[in-house]
Amino acid sequence: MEKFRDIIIIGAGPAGLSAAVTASAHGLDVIVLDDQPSVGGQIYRNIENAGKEKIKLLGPDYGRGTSLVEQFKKSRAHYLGNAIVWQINAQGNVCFSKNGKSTEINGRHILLATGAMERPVPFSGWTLPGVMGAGAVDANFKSSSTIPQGPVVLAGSGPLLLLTAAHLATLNVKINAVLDTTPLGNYRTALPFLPRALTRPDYLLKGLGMLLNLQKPGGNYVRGVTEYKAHGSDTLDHVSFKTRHKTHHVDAGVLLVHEGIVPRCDFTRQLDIKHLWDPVQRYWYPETNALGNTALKTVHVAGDGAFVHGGVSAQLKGTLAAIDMAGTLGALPGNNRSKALENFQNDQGVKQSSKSGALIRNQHVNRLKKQLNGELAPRPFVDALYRPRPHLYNMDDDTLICRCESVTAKDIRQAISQGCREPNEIKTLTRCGMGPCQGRMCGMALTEIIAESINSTPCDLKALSIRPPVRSISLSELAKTDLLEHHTQ
Amino acid sequence: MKHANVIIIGAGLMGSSTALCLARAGKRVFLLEKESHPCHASAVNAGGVRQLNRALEEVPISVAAMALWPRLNSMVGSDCGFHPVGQVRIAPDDMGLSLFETRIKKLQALGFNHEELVTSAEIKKLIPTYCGSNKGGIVSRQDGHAMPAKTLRAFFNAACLAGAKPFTRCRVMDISHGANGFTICAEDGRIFHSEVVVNCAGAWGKQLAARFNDPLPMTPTALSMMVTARMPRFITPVVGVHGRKLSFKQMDNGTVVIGGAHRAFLDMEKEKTTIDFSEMKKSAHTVVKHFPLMKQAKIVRCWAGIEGMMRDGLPVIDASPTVSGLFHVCGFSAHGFQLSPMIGRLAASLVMGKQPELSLDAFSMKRFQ
Repeated sequence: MEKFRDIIIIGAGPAGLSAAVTASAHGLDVIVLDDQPSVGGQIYRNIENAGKEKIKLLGPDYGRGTSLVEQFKKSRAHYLGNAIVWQINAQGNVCFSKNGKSTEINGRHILLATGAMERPVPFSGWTLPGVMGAGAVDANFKSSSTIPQGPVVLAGSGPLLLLTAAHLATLNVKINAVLDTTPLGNYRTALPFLPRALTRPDYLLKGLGMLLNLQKPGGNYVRGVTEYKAHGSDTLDHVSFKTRHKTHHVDAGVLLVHEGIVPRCDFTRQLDIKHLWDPVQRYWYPETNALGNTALKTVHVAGDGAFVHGGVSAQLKGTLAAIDMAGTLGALPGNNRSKALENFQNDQGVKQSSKSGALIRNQHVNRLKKQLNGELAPRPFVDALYRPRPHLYNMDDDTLICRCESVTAKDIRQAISQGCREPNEIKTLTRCGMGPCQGRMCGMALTEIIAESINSTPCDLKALSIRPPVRSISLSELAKTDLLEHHTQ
Repeated sequence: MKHANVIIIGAGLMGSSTALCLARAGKRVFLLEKESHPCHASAVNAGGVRQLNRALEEVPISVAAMALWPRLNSMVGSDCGFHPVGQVRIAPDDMGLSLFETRIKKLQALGFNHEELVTSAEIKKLIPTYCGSNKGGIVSRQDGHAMPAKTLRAFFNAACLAGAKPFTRCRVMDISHGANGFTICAEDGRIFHSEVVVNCAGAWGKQLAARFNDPLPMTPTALSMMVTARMPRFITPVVGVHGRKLSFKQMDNGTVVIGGAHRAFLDMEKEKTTIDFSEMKKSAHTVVKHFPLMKQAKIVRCWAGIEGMMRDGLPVIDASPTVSGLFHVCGFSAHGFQLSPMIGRLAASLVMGKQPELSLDAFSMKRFQ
């Protein structure tokens, strides 16, 4: 396998695929690494193998992926599925594991298109078998057509919760309740953002349609839920929840929770890129410019990993990042590689051909930016409406926070009472975040619990360090890793 | 302006331990820490509590410190996660064994019996899963391991409880010495004053000493470690192999911590370490070769700490030859953890002009002249 590439793209979702299509059309040598067995990312998961029926059921939000994947397949970009990236650096070196063998390759540029994940929020009973993320149901259905065996209860807040409820209803899954924890006050605080959102009535009508559908008699839709807990001895038995001052109970075989979506920042953290805090959606995101470039010239981020904007935006962000990388690498659209480089090297920006090339590029970029801006119109409204509820992390002392290392909220609060204020110190003291998931599941809760205890916000605390390898590998695999010969001490 | 008798720069284990003893002796002590909390090498070291195979110069302090480890609860209010599981060092060849034999004779001549020479059969009994070559080795049965972060927090809190005043996020920007003692200006403009300053700045100790023209032959170095996911218990003592970059231990929870002085990249300006996977690859190779049952162990995490390595591997515990009232207690060269409970006592005596209970001659600044 060729070990030196122009661009290494990590993630084969909408951002990664569109970037690959654009970059390879510029004559660049591109490889896409992805941990799934087939392309599509979360949103277009397994779309190549999805039949017409599944595409019809999941609607245009899913079906849209078909043409993107077709373009990708037609492109000259290389693709490696089942490739788990476990280490990257700013010099463009990427280590990944495939079929139990690890290899290091180098890209002149890296594009991180690793997307987003459901916000992990521990609550009482969340580790009981039968409790899972709404996104996991979506993923299972897309990859293997598995449907949860009811009765199902859905709980949380956000568009994906409503979408999952709608899909399950179409599949005739018995839904005992949809517990919406969106604070009722959010409808008022989101109002100032409504006018801009109205410029995209398509999105608003879709959301409204889902909501109205749930509110039909028999939809078992409950608004204004302030808290929910899962109960059962060995597996989930029922769910309790609070509205105002009343506690209710509902039977459940499966509880699907969803508390919004947050960018996956493990690689950007590992690269020590500066992260910014979004106070509305309460998450960290890497600092990038409008084209996705980070403070590291060689590293771009595109898609929901840069900020959660959804699939269509991710695709546009991927294209923009690819154009920017192509510009830096001196490649022009439609040109083959050697000609592009020749143009770039021959002249320092004055020559007619590249001047017009730059002009075309700028026009293209402006068109894409405008399109992206249109896509983003409803986001401030949606983000404010589905702003995480206050005290989301004010869980009981006995709630398990770190599943890998069995650390409870009480353990964390005890460390705080000993004077600890930094997530990294509490990690070393309690082992919270030291397990195989490297804090991906508990890091946010740990930080929020500290912030709440000391009346602060996570942006005033240092984020949990991400230690390499970002994904674990076996000692024997590491011992046999095919490393590039660049390392010097 | 804030005034103290003693200002200790660096709230790591040495600084906290020294602050504890000085505060208990009634001194007004400030403990300055550039980070938001005490951390760095004190918190992220491998946690070895080891007398075994130390430089002979360090043995008296190490033995005295060992007597304190089981009693830390009464000293700092925490057991610090200490487990006396023993430490073993294997001789893979005859040359290693003869070195060990000489060492044990020397120790016995000095009156120390904590280390014993053992046969290859005894090594096999102690570590049945070891598959490397084995000609015998040395064992120190009182040794073991502890939890660095827990130990550090315990010493730091104990020092504060005893009256030492901590100032975190307090990076020293300027430090000067005049007729009235020391004046320290922190990065955020806070100003401190004291008669005495103790340099417990670890890997940053060289920079601090250089401000007073005290050259310390120290190289800040990043040393890396790996830890695996939990495994069924297969080894009790902490193990090292002579001549191999291998040192590891299985913790209580089943995870295996792998050290061996493999270096990481260090950017001292950014105070940032980066794991060098070519080193980790070598480390993995060594581990798998000596312990084949570790082949499928999953590496969960690698990390590195920044440590001040002295040219001769011995720390400096001495008064500055150039500035009166300045003391250097740093350069522990990656084996200070076990010594730390004792260092505070010795450094405190030194600072207060008393005769330390053990000789510090081997750690003087004179040896660099």
